[in-house]
Amino acid sequence: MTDFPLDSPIPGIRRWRESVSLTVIVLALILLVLVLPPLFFLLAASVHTTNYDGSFDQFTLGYFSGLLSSRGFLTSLLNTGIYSIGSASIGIILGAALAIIVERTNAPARRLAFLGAIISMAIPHVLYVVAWLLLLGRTGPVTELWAMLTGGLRFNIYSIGGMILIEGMSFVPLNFLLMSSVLRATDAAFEEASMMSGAGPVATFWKITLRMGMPGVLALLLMSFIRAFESFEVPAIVGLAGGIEVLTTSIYQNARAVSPPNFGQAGAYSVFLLVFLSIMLYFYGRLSRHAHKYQSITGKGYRPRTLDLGRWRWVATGLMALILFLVIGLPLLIILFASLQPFYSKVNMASFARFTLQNYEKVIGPGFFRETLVNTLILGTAVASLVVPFTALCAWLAVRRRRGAWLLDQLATAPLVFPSIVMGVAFLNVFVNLPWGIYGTLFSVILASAVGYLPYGMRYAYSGVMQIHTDLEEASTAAGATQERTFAMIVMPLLATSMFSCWLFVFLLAVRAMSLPLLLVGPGSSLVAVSLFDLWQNGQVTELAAMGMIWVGLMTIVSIIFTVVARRYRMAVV
Amino acid sequence: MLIVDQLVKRYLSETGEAKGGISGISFDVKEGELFTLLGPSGCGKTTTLRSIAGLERPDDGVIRLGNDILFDGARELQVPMYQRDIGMVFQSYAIWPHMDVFDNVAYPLRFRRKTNLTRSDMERRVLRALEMVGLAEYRNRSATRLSGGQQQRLALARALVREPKLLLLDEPLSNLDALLREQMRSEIKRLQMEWGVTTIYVTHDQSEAMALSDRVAVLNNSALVQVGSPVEIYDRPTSAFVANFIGRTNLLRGKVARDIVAGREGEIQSPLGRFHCQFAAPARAGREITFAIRPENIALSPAGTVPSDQPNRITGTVQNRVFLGEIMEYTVVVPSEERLIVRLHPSACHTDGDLVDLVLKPGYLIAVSD
Repeated sequence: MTDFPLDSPIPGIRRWRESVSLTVIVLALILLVLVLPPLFFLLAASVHTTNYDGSFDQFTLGYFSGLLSSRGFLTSLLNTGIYSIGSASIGIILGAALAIIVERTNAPARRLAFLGAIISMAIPHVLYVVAWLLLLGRTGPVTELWAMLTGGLRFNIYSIGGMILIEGMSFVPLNFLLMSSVLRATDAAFEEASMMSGAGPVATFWKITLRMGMPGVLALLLMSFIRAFESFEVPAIVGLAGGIEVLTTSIYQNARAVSPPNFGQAGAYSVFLLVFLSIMLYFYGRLSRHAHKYQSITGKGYRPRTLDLGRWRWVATGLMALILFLVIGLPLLIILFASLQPFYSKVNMASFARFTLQNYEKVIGPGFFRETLVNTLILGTAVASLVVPFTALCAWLAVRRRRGAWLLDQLATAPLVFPSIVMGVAFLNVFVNLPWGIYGTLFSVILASAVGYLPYGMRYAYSGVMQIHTDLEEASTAAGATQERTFAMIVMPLLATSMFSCWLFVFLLAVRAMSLPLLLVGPGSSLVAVSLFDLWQNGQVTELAAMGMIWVGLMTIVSIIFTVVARRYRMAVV
Repeated sequence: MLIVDQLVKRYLSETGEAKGGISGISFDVKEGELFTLLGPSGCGKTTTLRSIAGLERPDDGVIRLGNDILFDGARELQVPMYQRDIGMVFQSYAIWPHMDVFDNVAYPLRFRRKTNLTRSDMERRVLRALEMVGLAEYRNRSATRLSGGQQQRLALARALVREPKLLLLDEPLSNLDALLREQMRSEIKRLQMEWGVTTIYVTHDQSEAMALSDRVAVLNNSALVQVGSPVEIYDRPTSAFVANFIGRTNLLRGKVARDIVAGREGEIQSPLGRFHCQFAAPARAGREITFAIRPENIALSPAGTVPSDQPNRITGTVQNRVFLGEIMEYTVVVPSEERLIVRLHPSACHTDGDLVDLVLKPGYLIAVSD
């Protein structure tokens, strides 16, 4: 047996135990620094009483022990539950109806529903809620019309029913898109086999289509429930005015509306929400995986056949148009109307005569509004530009199962359990307790938002990397390239379209957000969504409307670009 | 049993050109027969099958099953697919994942129009179908927990439980691995003969078609090229396409020496000499024609062993040989620089560079249209 010399002539020979690469370590550290402090401060705040300046005082478990016995908490919880179930149901029913009409019938002009969904992505939630309050408020045109038709019946929008209605409507576009892609992905063979077995179209729909779609619908229902549970805009704008508190607004009230801020209470509520949402997300993951089992695997199937409605297809188109009008058209119209008024008033003949462009002039001209628009564009661009490359790298390392990369995946996805308002509160705690004065700056909002949108970037990047066959990278390393060169020259170019699409998606999400930046903005860092909220609180409806319309116009363009790119890349929206 | 007459289906691409589809296909299928539609992808075989099933609506033609008209283009009549007495096995099997094995097979029995079955009747029929495909002990298993072969058998049971007049199979073996494919091939043939059901089988695999069918219809470019029994198709291809598509063949060019009457032997003049060839169709003298001979119908022996007056003789040099187990395949270069493939029993041992005499066995040299 010959003895081989240890100093081998081939450079690069090393022991094969894979050590954690430097890249993974660096990325993990960055993520730890970004994700852990908010969580830590939140936990700390929930078990300490706080001083006037926000620093921590004494350790106490009082906030938690007080939770279960506090009537406020239980009422909040009950309200949140009813509100979530109600709005999730409305969102699913209308969204599914649209999806079925568009994907499974031959209703003419049905593709217009996608245009509606595109426009809705451009509308900030705040604006949407305000629109509905204008329509259904005490002096709103719909309320008046309804009163006329029913002889005096008035609907109080500032009620839990009103909250359910508005939030439910806001879910419809996304639910429509998601159900659409589910319906599109089912293999037609399942239904064709049913019809070849003698079942007519109606029987096939009940016994096959619906049954097989049920897991997907349930997953969507759960997702809507989770979103409603953590939503803030509707409860803040509608609920508080009607004296209805949900968990998220309770947190906000404790952090902002009382003096001194009761971070302890806010923290306790937040921790409860975090735990609850984590459990819900776990079940959502399981349900979603179960739903995937029912999708077509071979990919060779025909597109599902459309139901020929005959003369009824115009009725279907009418129904679709009605839903779209209610969900998107009507709110936009009232905002347009309001933006052209010198001061807000009821919708009547006289008000039409008063149309003016002065609100638009105010917004476009130099000043506070213009600065706000610019800030928001900077925010969106910065957040997207930070999140996308970072998550692309993390996702690649995680998908290729590099040692330790699973931690990157977990850390980057962790922010998902934080409702935006809680994330805002948590970062508020962090920034206030830091020695540098970054609280209130645009930079601080960018940082907090970037952390908040890491999960979205990860999901997008994850599925993007999964689509790149390992063969392509292995061919690169077999040709002599290092891991870094392979990532730069093979993976990045292949991910490019996915990353561009993700960039636009994160951009759109970041600029719509209100609850996350709400507690973090300061004088120099005003943002569109937060300003719209403030304007509403101040009663400046007309300026709000003009700013909103301009913003919707700009974002529709971005949204259209996103849709075109995403369709090219053939990826579902979420 | 089934008559398809001048069936037409037009597909247009995005630019408006005709793409795929079928153009005027006619054939009939006898009762109890296993009839195969064979052809390369895009030839129209699946479109034809789906038109018979009722999953596609043709543009023209007539489809009749027994005494029932299923489709009549001229009179704009179409029977919906769920009212046709046809069972179908899909390429992806389409086993419903949310039901168990028993329910999958019982499903078609729930939609009987004419008579209502009692529960015990239904159970009996389902179990009989499951037994015939060998899945009786899996009756309560969830459909998602079946292997590929089991899913396929389940699809067959489901298609046959109603005892339909016609069974359609859309490339049922293409998703299986080689060994399973052979097993299922004989299973399908056995089931078809036991049930005695008229069957139409679609495939692009010519060995499947040869092994299973009573008759084969070869399709290419949206049209029917030749119909016949496997032996007829193999021994007497009418076109170069069929000769090439089924098995391996050698194609040569030449000119017809004298006027030929259909069905007779005639002479061809080619750069390699004069050959005696079988003609299925009449041909005029001087016409350029392609003629075909299968590799196993060429005799090969060392140069000089064949008398020079032997008809259909060619000299050549062995260029290459490939050992395939049951045969040895030789590539022989002939004076016109063309290559002929010859298949012999492996015991024959000629090596590269040997000079050999080839004899194209008379009776097997066939003139084909281009």
